[in-house]
Amino acid sequence: MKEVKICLPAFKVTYSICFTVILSLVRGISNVTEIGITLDAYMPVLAIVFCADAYRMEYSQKRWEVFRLYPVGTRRKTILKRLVIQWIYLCVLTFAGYACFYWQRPMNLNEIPQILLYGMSMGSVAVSIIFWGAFAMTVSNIFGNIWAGIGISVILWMAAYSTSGERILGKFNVFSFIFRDIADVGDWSWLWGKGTALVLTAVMLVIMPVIIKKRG
Amino acid sequence: MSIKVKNLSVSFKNGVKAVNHVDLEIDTGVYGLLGENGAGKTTLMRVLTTILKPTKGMVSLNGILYNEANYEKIQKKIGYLPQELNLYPNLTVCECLQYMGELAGIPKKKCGKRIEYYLEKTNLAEQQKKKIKQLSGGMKRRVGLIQAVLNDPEFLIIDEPTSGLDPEERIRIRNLLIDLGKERTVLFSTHVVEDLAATCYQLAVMKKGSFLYAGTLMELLAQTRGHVWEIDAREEGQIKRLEECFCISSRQVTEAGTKVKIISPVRPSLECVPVEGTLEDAYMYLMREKE
Repeated sequence: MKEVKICLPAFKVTYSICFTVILSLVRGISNVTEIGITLDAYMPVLAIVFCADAYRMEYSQKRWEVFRLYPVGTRRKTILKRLVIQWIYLCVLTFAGYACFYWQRPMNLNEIPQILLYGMSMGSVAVSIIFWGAFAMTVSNIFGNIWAGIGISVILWMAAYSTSGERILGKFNVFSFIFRDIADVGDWSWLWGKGTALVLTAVMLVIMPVIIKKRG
Repeated sequence: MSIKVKNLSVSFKNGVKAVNHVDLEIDTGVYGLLGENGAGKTTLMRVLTTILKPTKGMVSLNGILYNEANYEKIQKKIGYLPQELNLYPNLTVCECLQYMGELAGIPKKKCGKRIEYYLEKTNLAEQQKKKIKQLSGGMKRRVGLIQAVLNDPEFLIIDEPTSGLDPEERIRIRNLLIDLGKERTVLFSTHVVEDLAATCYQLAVMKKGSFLYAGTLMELLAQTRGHVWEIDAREEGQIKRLEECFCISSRQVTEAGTKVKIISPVRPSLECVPVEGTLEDAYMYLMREKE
């Protein structure tokens, strides 16, 4: 509970809810398949801003001198806990935010079962949140600056979400769910992209103790 | 408990030498570190906490050498209250201390007992359910002090614990430091001379990264004996002339005029009387002598 209070302060909860609600208001959709695509594309931006400070908050809030005296293992566990709490919160927000898009009365043109669509979309967005959250935190830790973490991650997000990103990375793109053929219900090749993202996240988490030991 | 520092130097990438060939030996008790802002006190303390690696020199804590292999062992013996510490604002005092105790690896039961004991000792027991962000500066400082002693450290390092506090809070923290110094080594830095006079037996005076003095308070005071003079100045012009010629350590306005205390190695050729120097006078004398 203490960790929740530390990494989910009121201002973060407020802006994340506002982001999700505003997204559902301004992003026009006509087909239910577009809800998952929209969330998968834009929730990572929220994850980047949200998770970049999982460790660096100790510096920005002037506690680093005391925090650095704790054993690396404890620090690693603490940061992981914070990251997991932030991931869970963002996923729950996304799962709930999905419903917000229904005010636009989207149609189910492909006649895919809604529950399957919801499950696929949420699974995909969850992986995106996990990947981009861990990435922003890692870059912040490497550069010792939250803004560097956010800036570099957003640039990479734009590159991956672009046409060039689709062409270069293909099915291994973290946004492979967005670039899939919507009409082809049996196309599960987007799982490659999500799998790659999960492997990269695991690598980032494994090297985290090395980074915090080296960068302080 | 003994901390030994030999020929320690710290240089930064921009070429600034923050600590310059410092030697120091500290035993159990409260040891003061006095110096102007930017003298190198915080840098020296950061080296002693293992946060900062020295450029040159040797440091040991109870015979354990400061090197990367020993850092974790040393860190367990250290308690640290940095100059600036913003505790977790959304946690209550009790939650915050429990959380920091968990991070320090203190068993839950032991930690709970220590928190209870120190909250009582620092008069914070009534505030334990308050959120950190609702506390006054002095209260936050006291909570900071509790987190530093939670792991029952052998070596307690405290950087300017009284800056920005009201007199009552300062006295409270000073008394607490004296109590803590009975069982462990407390290194305490400040630029408030009165705080050192009230708490320390031994001290070091720093200027531009070097030690101007390291020894007992009494010896430092003895050095100033015969160098502090008091003059009754009756007009403003006289005070101005004194300021031009001597180092003035204090001016006290009385009904009869102004009592001016001056620091001079020789008796000024004025109507003056020698007086007993305070630590403030001794500090001024030392600073002036080494200029």
